Amino acid sequence: MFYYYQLRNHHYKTEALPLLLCPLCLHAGSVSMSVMQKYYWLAGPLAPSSRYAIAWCEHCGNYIPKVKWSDEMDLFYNHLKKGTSTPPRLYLGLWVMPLLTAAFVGVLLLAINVSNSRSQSRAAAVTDAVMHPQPGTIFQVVTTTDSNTPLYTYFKVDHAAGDSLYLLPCNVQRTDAMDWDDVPTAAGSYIQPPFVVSLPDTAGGSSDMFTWGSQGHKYAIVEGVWTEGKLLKKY
Amino acid sequence: MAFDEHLQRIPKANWTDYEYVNKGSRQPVRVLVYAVLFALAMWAFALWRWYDMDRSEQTGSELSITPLEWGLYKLGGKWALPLLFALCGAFFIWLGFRGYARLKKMKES
Repeated sequence: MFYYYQLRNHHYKTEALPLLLCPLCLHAGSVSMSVMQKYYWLAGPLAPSSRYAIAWCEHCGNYIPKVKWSDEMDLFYNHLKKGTSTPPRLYLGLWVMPLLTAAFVGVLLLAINVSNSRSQSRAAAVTDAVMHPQPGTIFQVVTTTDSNTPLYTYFKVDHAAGDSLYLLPCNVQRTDAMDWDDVPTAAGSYIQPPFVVSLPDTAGGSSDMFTWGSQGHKYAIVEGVWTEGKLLKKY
Repeated sequence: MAFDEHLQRIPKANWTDYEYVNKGSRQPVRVLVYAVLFALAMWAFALWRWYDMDRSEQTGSELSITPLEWGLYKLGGKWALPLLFALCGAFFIWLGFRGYARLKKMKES
């Protein structure tokens, strides 16, 4: 990940230093010095860097290269620097950035939590519809063909009797889940007569699965329920 | 004089030649030392990645690489990335020498 940031300069002070000799033209009394500080900027001050100075001579009009600075200039620079303190605003990023990061992570965790709880409540509603089937309810199920490929189809509840559930298979069977949510609701889409399945065994943790046939060799996993005109999906 | 006025008077490319931080700023060799250290770090990285890729090729073991490294590997095999970093290191040393020569000339003038 790349961050684009700027290096900006904070200007502290500029002073004329009449006691200094210019190392370029050797003229006395014409050197001025500015004390500054670099700081990192990303939509606001992030953190300060080192302080520095630039010096120039009003007599010869040249800026003094750092390699030409004399010991006296260094002395005056340190004296000027002592009189400055870094403004608190330059440290803004050091506490704003961690706060923003924490807020971002917090919002992300909250969103995941809300999403999980919604998913759990949807799954609970689907389980409830499976355990207490009402005539007319349509289950959106995934089953398998004889060649063991997934088949996306629908079962409509005809009636329930004791532990048995009578379901009508749908004549719409899809090989992918692309238009799966377009639940066929017309009575003609479901084939008579109903076949019988056992009500799911909640104790075994498979409350969303219907099994039928001898020794339960056919199965269908419920992924959604169409009831009262709307589709309730587990995920 | 405010910073903007200095900026107008000093060419921006040479601004750091006039930034005095401490006594070390007076040594022209400092820029060369920084450049060499940076180049050594890049060469060490190049060597490390070459070694990892070579070992992965020899043994068939898995290696986690970034998309940039993958692109370079597709282009020029295990040598592309180390070569790029080695050239970058050499470029930094050249920049260091250039800066050193310029500052030395300034100091002696």
